[in-house]
Amino acid sequence: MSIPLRNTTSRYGLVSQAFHWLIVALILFQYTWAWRIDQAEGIRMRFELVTQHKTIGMVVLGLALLRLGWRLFNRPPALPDGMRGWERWAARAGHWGLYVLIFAVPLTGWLYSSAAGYADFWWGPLSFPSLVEPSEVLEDRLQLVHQSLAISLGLLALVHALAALRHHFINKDDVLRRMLPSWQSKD
Amino acid sequence: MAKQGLMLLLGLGAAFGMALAPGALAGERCYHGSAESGSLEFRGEAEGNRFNGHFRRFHVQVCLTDAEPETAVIDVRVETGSGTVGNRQGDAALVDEELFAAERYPEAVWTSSSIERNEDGFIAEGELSLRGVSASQPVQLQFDHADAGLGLTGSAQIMRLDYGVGQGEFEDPDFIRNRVELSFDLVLSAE
Repeated sequence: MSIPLRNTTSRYGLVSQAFHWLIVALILFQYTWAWRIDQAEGIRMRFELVTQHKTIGMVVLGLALLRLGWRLFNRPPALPDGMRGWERWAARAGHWGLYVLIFAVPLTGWLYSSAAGYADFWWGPLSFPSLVEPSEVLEDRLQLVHQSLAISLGLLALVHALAALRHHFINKDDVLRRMLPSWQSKD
Repeated sequence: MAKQGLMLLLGLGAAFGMALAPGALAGERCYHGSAESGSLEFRGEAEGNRFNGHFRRFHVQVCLTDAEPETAVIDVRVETGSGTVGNRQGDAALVDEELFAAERYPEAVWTSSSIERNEDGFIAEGELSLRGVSASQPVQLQFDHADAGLGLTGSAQIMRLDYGVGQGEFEDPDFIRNRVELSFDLVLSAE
């Protein structure tokens, strides 16, 4: 029943699983907050939601950095032997695409906030510097880039989840189970 | 003879006119400044986060007698629609009806009534008219006579709600702090 901290050859360890599911939860929170920001009518509500959205985005960025570091020193388990060549390629491309987007979305959000002149506003004791000088032209462009990347991340994450479900229900291998706590696993 | 009388009359008239004109009283000298010659900044807090802003258009006049700061009469006029906090939404909110209501009240005016020396320089009592409300507003000042003109620096703490700057959701001091810190640093030019 115990789950090792490090990845084994057949499953993800506790640290990798914690990073994965925590980042999933925070990203889902971020989409909900982005929708609420869009719906907010009062400037105060909007201001508070944006401040929280930005702060959680920076937490995601920090977790993504830690997760990448952990991955570099703790290789993930190998893909199942039965996977075809294109599936292996798609799985690797999908994983690295998710990594790139998990970094790119908060970074462009930080740039967008800086260009909009809101670099100083964070939730709680956090403080981050402005990355660029305020500029309305840049603000509009970065808003578009940030939103486009966030939509791309959502779509790629959806493909990733569907692929995991395919492995579980159609291929009947342990690709999904190895990212679940041990009480959900056959191990 | 008639010509000499006319010249005398013109000379007396000119002297009398000069005596009445501002800045022409014996020993009095007036200085002017604007956003081109210095800064007028404000700082506040929104949800506990500090924000900074400044006014892009304002005019300051200081008239002193015998270069004595205690004799100064200061007049400051600020275009309320020129305030900026460095972001689009904030700038739009500043001129809006809930804050400065810049269309109805395009100018804020502060006029000194007395100036006294204190441990930090000088304290000027005066009246601030902002958003249709006039109230007593002290300002801390330092004067610096320089070759380029008159240096004027200082600060004030303005309780924005005393002037109705903050209606609706902006009225809550837990959202936007009531106290706004104003500071200025100007080099005024002599007339």
